[in-house]
Amino acid sequence: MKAQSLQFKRNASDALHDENLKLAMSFAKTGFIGKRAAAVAAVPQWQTIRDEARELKNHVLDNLDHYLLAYEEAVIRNGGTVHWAQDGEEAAKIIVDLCTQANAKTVAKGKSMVGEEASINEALEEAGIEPIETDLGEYIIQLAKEPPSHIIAPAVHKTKEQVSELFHEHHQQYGRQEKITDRAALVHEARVILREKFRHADVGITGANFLVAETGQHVLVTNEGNGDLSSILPRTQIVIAGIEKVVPNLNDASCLLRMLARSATGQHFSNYTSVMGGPKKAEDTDGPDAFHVVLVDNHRTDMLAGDLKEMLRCFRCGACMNHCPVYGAVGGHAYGWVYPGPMGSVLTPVMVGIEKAPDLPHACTLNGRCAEVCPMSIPLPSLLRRHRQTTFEKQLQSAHSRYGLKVWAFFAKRPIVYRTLTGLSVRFLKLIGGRRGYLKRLPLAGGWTKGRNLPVPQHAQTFMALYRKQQS
Amino acid sequence: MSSRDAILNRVSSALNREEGKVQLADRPASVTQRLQSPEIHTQPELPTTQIETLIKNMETVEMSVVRLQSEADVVNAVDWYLEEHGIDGELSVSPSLAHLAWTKKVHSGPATGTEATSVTSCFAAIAETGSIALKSGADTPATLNFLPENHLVVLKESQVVDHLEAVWDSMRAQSSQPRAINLVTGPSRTGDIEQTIELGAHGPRRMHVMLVAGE
Amino acid sequence: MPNEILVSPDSLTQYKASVTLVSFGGIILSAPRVGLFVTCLVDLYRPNVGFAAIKLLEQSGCEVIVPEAQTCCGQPAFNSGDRASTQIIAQQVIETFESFDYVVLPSGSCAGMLHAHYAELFAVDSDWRKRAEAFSHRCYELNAFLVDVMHFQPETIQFKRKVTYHDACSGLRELGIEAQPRQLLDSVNGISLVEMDEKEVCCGFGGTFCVKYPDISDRMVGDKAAMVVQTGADVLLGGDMGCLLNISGKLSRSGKTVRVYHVAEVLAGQIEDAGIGSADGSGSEPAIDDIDSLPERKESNT
Ligand code: SF4
Repeated sequence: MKAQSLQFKRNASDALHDENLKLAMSFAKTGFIGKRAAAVAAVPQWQTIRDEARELKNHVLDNLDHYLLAYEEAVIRNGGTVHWAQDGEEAAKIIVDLCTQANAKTVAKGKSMVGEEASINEALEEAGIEPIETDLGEYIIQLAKEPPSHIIAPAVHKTKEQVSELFHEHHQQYGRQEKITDRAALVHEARVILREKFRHADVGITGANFLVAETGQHVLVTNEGNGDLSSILPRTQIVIAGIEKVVPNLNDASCLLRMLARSATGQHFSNYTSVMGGPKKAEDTDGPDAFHVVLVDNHRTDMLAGDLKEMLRCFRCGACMNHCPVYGAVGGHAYGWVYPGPMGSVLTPVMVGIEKAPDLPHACTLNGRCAEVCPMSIPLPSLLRRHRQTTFEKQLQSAHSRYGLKVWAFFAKRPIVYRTLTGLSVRFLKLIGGRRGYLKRLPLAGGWTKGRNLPVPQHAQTFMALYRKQQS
Repeated sequence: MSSRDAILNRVSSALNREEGKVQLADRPASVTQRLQSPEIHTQPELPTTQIETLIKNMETVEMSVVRLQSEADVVNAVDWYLEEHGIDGELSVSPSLAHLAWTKKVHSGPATGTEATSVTSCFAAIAETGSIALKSGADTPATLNFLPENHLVVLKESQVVDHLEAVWDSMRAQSSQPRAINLVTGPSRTGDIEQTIELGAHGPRRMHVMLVAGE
Repeated sequence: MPNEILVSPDSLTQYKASVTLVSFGGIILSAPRVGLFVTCLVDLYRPNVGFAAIKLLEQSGCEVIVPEAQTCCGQPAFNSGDRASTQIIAQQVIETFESFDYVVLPSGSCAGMLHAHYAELFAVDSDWRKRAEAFSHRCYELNAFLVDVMHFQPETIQFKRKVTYHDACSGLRELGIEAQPRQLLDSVNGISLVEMDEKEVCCGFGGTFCVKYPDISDRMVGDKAAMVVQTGADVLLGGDMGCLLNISGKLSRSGKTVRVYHVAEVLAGQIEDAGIGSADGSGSEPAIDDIDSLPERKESNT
């Protein structure tokens, strides 16, 4: 998908006025946060497991080349094929080629964020192949022709009424004239329609939560079971995954699995955790005939080389965005690309170029709650600050804020001049707003005073001036 | 240069490898160790006994559990369950259970997609998570785990393990590996509409475990 | 381990700072010399907090000095990615304050800056790095210092109010300040503390954030103000001026009468006026009643 992150500010302010979004996000807030907290509290060893997970991922990253080679060797041993894509475009091309070779007309897709990075759907459509998203959330937004707004719950921004409208509009072609509004009935209708699609899909494409170097298998976690159906029913199975997804062995995957569902949805374990690899065996009566893995770099090696390496520990649980107040206010679409929320504000500037997303690292209060809940102990605020440094060095911030910063820094570095300036400021503010104690408007502070008052200083003198007076 | 080599080169240079791109043969001992003798990380303690924990965890995720004296009771238990829930329609069983004295007409083999119910064996259950572990194969086709609306599983008490790792260990001990191991933890569900859970998204709407005593 | 010598004596002599062993096992041995860094927002907006801090520190047994050369801790530059300016300011702060036994700030976010971020500004193994490390360990947020280092209990203070407390995010997450202000408030007579829902959620201030993204910030502070009001408390307390200015501005704009004070003002018994963002009644300056007469962007704002 094309990055719209340059319009962050405008997107965000539109989002703030969207009442449906506000309602939808309120469901998410109550759902995710409380459930996660309870699930984590139920595991007394949580912090130990978390520390081990960090160590484990650090070890993998320090030996990433070795583990990728080991994984590749094992996939080949299982009868599969490994493809390597340097970026999203190449990944999409590989996938379109594989689908074309398989004479595919339709493709069943399980949710894959790397797939979104690579804009696979667009590429398939261009090649005349119909991609069908099978995760209910992805299916909803595919009908709405929207990108996902959350990495775990792609349609989190939609209300039930909006889903009902969408189904009514798109399902009439299957003879379903009646508009349904009941949640269970909506889920059932999607099941029936998608089941037909599954049966006719020629290729199944899914992501992977982990790639296991020990066995050449991948671990795929879903709640709906759509990932498994996409993997078993079509003749050809394609897995697309970032190169950082590799783990040494199944025990290591277990360590991460213990944190994944709890962090993502507050479940102690997801419904379907499948360990798969290779085409069906000679004796098997079901399963795919061909198995392919597409390993995608797309700037992951840049992160590995630089000071954002820790971001590669991310296993896409979504906890950071669930706990992010900015995300909660503006929703996922405002971020303008595949990954929203704190992790997105770190990843997007790397993957699409910081020139195209200069706002993202700044649109954060650095309150640190994301890092607090991140099961992979990724210091998200520090990583955002690193991006900020880049935007400063490349002069990507608005002239207005750069100038403001320069003026401020000039004074902050010179205590005596600073004293004079602060003395004048308080006097001025006190003068214009003293009687009420606050200002309803102030030139240059229009943003602040649009929705709230600006308190005026307590006295017409600074603390330092009063203190000096008191001392003498 | 192929993309494979380009990526591996970039990884190696990001990691400041002196020798440039690594080969399989360069694998350091720490990596070999982890590939060949996986360690066990910290595991959550089971709050109560293995079977109690298992049943509690299964019930949390809407799996129902009955306990049976012997495998001979399975057919009755299946009949009873179907009747109790008013379930008609085709019944498919995994070939591993074809030998039972079924009272109804059953199809044995991979799912046809039209059956209402499947009855399968499994090869383990994990107390820690409340999961059933199923492996793909001619005797236990994986489609039976996903396509029918109702999935009934025969589990032997001796198959229950404490933690995930025990499942992997028992796989490692076998000579040939299945294409897939499915850990199933409750009926299929989705929270994609307003974060409210609905069962039966794509896979089974009901899951029922028949826990058979003894070996 | 606040009761122990926090920096090794070697590094101290090396950097001319002299730290005395001031307390041992909870017993204060000698009056520690404390450098008070009032922070820029207290300096500008709320001198009372500075005086309250001095009073509390003295009551707890410290000798308090307020160095003239202080300005700001450098957060605006740090959080804007201007590393060079941040370094210069950090060096200035270190030079100004490193001769004290402790540096105390009535702000979790500024204390967090000194404590958690100064060292990372300088190259590993550089002299400034070592100096910053030795310095950082002696920097404390006021509440944390009073409780953890001085084992202080406020003198008999009366405050018969229902209050709620806002934990500033940096204090909470960088320094773990949560129990200390509550422990101190516990010894205030007549006070009743009601915790608000979602108390660990950010108020939307975020320093430069509220200027760069005022709309988002406004939504966040709106949610926060609603939580404050929901408690039914008539006073909001907190340990960070930034958050307090923000929330008080939102409360007063929405016509709420909740009064807002820095926690130090209450603990020191220095409740002098109607609170942050309210008229103090004591100002002698004439006030222009309506700033709306000043030229500004045309937008309805009430
Ligand atoms: S950054 Fe952490 S919390 Fe956010 S998605 Fe990644 S692993 Fe989860």
